[in-house]
Amino acid sequence: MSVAAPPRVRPATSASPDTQSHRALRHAAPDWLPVIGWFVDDGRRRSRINVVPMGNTVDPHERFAATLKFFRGAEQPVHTFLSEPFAGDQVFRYESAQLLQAIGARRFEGLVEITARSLDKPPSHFPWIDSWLEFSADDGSLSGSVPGFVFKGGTTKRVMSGKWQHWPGVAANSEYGCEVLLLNYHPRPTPLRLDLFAPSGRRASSETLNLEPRMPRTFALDEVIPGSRELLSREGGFGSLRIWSAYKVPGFVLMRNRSTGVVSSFDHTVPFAGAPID
Amino acid sequence: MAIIARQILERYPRLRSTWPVQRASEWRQQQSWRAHPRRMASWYRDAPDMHTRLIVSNLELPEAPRACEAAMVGVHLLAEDGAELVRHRVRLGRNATLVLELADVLPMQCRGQILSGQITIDFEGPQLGSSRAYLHWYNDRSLTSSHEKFGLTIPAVGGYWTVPNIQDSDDYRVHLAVTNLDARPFVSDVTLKDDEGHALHAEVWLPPNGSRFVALDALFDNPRGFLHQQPGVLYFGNNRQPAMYYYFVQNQRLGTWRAQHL
Repeated sequence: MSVAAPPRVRPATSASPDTQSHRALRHAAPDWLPVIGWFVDDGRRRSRINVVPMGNTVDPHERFAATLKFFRGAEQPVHTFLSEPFAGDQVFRYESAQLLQAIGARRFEGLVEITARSLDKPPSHFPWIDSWLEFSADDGSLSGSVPGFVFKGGTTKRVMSGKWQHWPGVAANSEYGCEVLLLNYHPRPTPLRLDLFAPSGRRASSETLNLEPRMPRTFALDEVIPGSRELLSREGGFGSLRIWSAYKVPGFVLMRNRSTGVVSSFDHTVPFAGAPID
Repeated sequence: MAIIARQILERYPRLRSTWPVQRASEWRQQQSWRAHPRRMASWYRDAPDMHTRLIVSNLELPEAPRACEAAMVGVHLLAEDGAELVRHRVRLGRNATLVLELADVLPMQCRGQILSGQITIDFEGPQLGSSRAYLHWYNDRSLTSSHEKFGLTIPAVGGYWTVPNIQDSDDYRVHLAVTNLDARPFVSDVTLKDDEGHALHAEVWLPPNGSRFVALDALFDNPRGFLHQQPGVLYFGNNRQPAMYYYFVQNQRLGTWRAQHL
């Protein structure tokens, strides 16, 4: 099986009859699913979207396109970007600097909805295109790469099952602290609560917190769960985090070295899966 | 015998709530969980530059608290060549979290000497999502974490496992952690492409249940020159494979590692 470089696809300048027939086919068939992610650029922290068609196809000549919608609180996006077609073995990349230029802003923090589609084939049992969001900081204090979350149903990838998610291994000690990043894709506020468990099962909880509509929010564990450091430090400094939210919200945990300020761990939580019980 | 017991219980259903029958039922359930645990797996290293910690929680779901029970957790550590090093079992209570330093359970002569190994975790209890294991890979400068990747949650991707951003600099050195989940040898095809679509190919041979931790420049000649300071991409085999992949980005300037699963 070859993955040699294919001929480059030229950007389409006008809709051909073939393109129109494909469009009609797509309207009649299930569409490709979007994924969502955090997107930030504040002059120090930067983001990049990577859409990788070869995560979904082994055909280097298959053609793809991506639609990006950027949200910052309102139901409608503040900016929508339509990519040119790209070949199956290419990686479509979009930098946060491009968004700042497009919206004429100096900073942005919000959500991005990425819908990548094959222009040649209908969606299969894996109906989304592998998309990764990368984050970095000029001073090296942030480095991370996480997959976009499939938010809408109908997939085999059980990334979200409902209101509960967790992260075993959360840190609250003298060396490391944790931040919880939650993405509220819903066009309404979403209440949530964080429960921290020590290895023995002793626990502490936050007050009921709130996520603004169509916005991300980061919570420092030390700040929202009083006594979290004392709770875990007595038992080695690590424990488990359980997150309840009124509606499903993709969650991530960032672990920061307190002395260097460097975030060296950035990954998503996992849901309580198993058999449906609520 | 079992048939007779079942017939008696069908005839006298009140017996089901008696102490001996309930204990027998619990014992049977535990035997079933032990025979059919939730199998998880990941990769570990215990060397001067990186140690590994395993975390497994057993949290209750408040809407269904009775679904959470104390459970046994079996931990199995393998060497790079797939040979068994140690088996360890521990009881995990309701709402408890297991935090296990793998160096503490490795045989003394292996401590600090394991450059690459497979870890399997058997959760012998109700299969709530809370049984998913996480790993910490850490040193004096950094702590990075991700979840086990036995591959049960994504039945198949349509194409290749990919790493979307490959660089090779002192701040961004990519290492691959590859584990063979099968009892047969496996050869993992690895393709590195630059931003113009040029490709380099390599193979990683893995013994049964074996693993490898390999730097990009050990797989490919002069990846720094090949990538010419533009992000490249890595492809691994395709979905018809028994391998589990993580990649680690080493920042040599800061002395940190950052892990990511595929």
